[in-house]
Amino acid sequence: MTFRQFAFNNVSRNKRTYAAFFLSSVFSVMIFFVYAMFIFHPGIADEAIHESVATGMMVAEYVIFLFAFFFLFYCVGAFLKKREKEFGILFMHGMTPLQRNLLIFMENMLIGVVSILFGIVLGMVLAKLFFQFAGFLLDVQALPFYWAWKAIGLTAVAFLVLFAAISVFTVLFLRKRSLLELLQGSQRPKKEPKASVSLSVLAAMLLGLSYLLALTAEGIYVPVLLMPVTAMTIGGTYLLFTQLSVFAIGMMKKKRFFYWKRTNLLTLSDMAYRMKDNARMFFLVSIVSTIAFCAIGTLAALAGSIQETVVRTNPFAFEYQSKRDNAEEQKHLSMLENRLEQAGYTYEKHMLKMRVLPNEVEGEQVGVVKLAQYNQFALAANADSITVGDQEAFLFVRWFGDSIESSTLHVGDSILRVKSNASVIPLASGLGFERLAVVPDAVYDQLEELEEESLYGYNVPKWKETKEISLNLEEKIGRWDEEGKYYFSTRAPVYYSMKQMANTALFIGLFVGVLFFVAAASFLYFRLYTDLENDKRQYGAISKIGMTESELTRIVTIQIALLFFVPILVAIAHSIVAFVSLQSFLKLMLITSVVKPTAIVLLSFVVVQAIYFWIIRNRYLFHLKRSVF
Amino acid sequence: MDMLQVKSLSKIYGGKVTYRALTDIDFTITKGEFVGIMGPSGSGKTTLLNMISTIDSPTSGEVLLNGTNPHLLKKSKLALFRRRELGFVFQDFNLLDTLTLGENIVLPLTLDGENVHVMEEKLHAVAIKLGIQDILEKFTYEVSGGQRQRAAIARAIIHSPSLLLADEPTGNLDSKSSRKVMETLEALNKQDQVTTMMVTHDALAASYCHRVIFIKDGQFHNEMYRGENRQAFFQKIIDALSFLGGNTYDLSTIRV
Repeated sequence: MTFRQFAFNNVSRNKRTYAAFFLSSVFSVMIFFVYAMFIFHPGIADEAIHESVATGMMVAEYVIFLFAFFFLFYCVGAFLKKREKEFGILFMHGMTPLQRNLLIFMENMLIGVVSILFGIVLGMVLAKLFFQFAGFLLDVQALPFYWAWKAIGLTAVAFLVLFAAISVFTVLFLRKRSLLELLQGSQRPKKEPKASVSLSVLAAMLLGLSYLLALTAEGIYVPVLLMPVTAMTIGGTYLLFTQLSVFAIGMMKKKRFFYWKRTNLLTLSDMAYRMKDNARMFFLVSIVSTIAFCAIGTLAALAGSIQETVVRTNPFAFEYQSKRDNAEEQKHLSMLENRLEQAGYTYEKHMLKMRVLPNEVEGEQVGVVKLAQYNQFALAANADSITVGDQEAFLFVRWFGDSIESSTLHVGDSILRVKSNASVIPLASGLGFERLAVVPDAVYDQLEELEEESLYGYNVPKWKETKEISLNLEEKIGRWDEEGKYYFSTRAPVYYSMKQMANTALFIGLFVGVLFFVAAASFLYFRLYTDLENDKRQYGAISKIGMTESELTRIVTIQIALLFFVPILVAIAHSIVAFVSLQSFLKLMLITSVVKPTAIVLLSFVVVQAIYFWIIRNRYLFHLKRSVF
Repeated sequence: MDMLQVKSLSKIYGGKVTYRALTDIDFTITKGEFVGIMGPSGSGKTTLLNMISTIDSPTSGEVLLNGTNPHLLKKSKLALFRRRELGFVFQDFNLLDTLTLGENIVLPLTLDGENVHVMEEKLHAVAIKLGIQDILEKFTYEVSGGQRQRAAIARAIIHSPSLLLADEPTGNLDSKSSRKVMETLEALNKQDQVTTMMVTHDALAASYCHRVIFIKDGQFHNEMYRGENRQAFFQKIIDALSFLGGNTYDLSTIRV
């Protein structure tokens, strides 16, 4: 048996041992490959998919690669830890450290090459499905299947490099242990976990403070507070798992009435050790999940509120605004109306007349509109109506954060008290003036001989179908003329381009999120897998004393449930707090509801996690029971 | 009164080649007795112990403990039976690393849902009896092998089992600790009438028993009673073992 054969046999005869690592590798390769296929797809070059999509995918590809590296690096580490005893035996029989390193390298490369093959084949099978899904989300025709030589090449090279790098890094980071420690492997008794009181208090304080800040922050301060609160939360979470949790368990152990109650004794004492052991993993999983939840939730909110946003920013399917001296007004309007009628769309036409005041107010030209007409127009646009008294004028803000300086407004012969409300968005803006004011009907009617502008709004019930017509008209009429005599805008094209953008972001976010999620779950699986031998021994001992199957089931279920749900619950708590503070911020960006999409995202993650938990728990119990009973 | 009755117990391991591990073993242990089981490697000692401790089930024959046959119980009842009627002492202690010695000792009571005050009282009493009251807060890796084994014995008797089963209790201990552990078992037997059955290789350990049963190739071979002098009994056991023809390396080195 040559050394190479030894390495090969090690892997090929211990398929079960290597299976978890192998599957993780295949999964990473597959995801990477599917993405690559998408990016290199000939259809991407066409107009069918927006350029931003391809760029986004490219970024996602880098993220996946980076993530795959860390993920597989962790997997190898966990895997080697389990084999400490094996290395101990090999060392005792005279293996040199160099040979061990070579062995690890050859094994990793063997697994790497096989998983690259499997990942590519599997990716090819799944690609069709992925393309369909992508097409559905991005609102384009599903991309056809193709032979992705470029993607295959990229994946193979990238992952060969990755596996080689991981092998080298693993060997470099392998902790030097004495032969005795290696031989004892996982049987070494561990020190009792202890937590520092001050650090536990610090953890509670950090988390409490950052939650408080996040929950009470007003919209504008959210971006300012984002960095410090995030840093505090991350620090607090780390301490929560390394100190506070152990401390809390220690406190529970002091209560004998609780601690010495049936299986609590076993569950709690074991939990303290598991918490300490898994603290870093819990921390990583929590943070990664929080990021994934927040990103996906925000993107889902963004995608979900596109229609609402567009309808609010473009209250009419078509808007045409023109100055009095615009000679083409009638021509343009009749062209628009003819096209709509020809295509069989019904429409309602609304009009708003605005007069421009001769004098500047605070350096701005002001346009006035009649109260009754404005409210009628607002009703048609489904916007807020306005009330003004006989001696009042309503001034609109021009942008978010804009404030009204003047307290009175001279209109014709009257002096009106200025009224304003920053949350009301103006339905019109002027061609020849900057600020819009609503004045009482009587005041407006006195004004004459002023420059006048008319705004026509067309409500089309089936506006979503008017994309073609809109684009066509925009081309014919033009969106404005150079002298600023008119202005024309349509809603459907804006809607579709925003929708595609948002869906793209969601699509990428979802995939990266799912990748993170699966990786987090795999971390947990690896963890359990490493503990299995130890647990077999321990529960074997207890069962001889007399432990029923249902008691074992209860203990193991509680332990695995904690492993699975503690990080997720922490992540959910973090995300909910983040969303509450984000909501006030996102409102400014006209995204109305974060609650529903976020709830859907969080709930589906919990459901998937529960299913995963159930499968892993049953498999674990099956292995455990088979060896114990 | 008969505490344990073993009636024509046989065990055949199936598989491609069936293997007869035990053939027609018969014996009884009365209340308060301290019985040793000896025999060469492969004679079926551990198989016998596993039958009695209900970890394995016999092919034929029956085991009666206080008149009930635990092998007829359901799986879940069986676990409860073990935890209430039997006490176990193992060669490798089988103490849990994650628990302190005190917690390890109360474990059987805890699993049974005993009241905390009762547990504390019993723990206190049993710890004093075994001289380990000062190390109850310690973890397994902080104490010596002998102390661990005494903690394991405390765990095995804290619920006053009908029968204490010991599987090579001195197998992992040095001679001084072995003696201390055997003296503990003897004292428990004498003072509290703890009925004990011990499987051992160690002639010295066996010399603490009232009676030693020898088995060979899965069959009852003979039995010896102790009489007054332990030293003489020890010599008799050594002779019997060499007569049994077990290889000499089966015997632990003489430690007297």
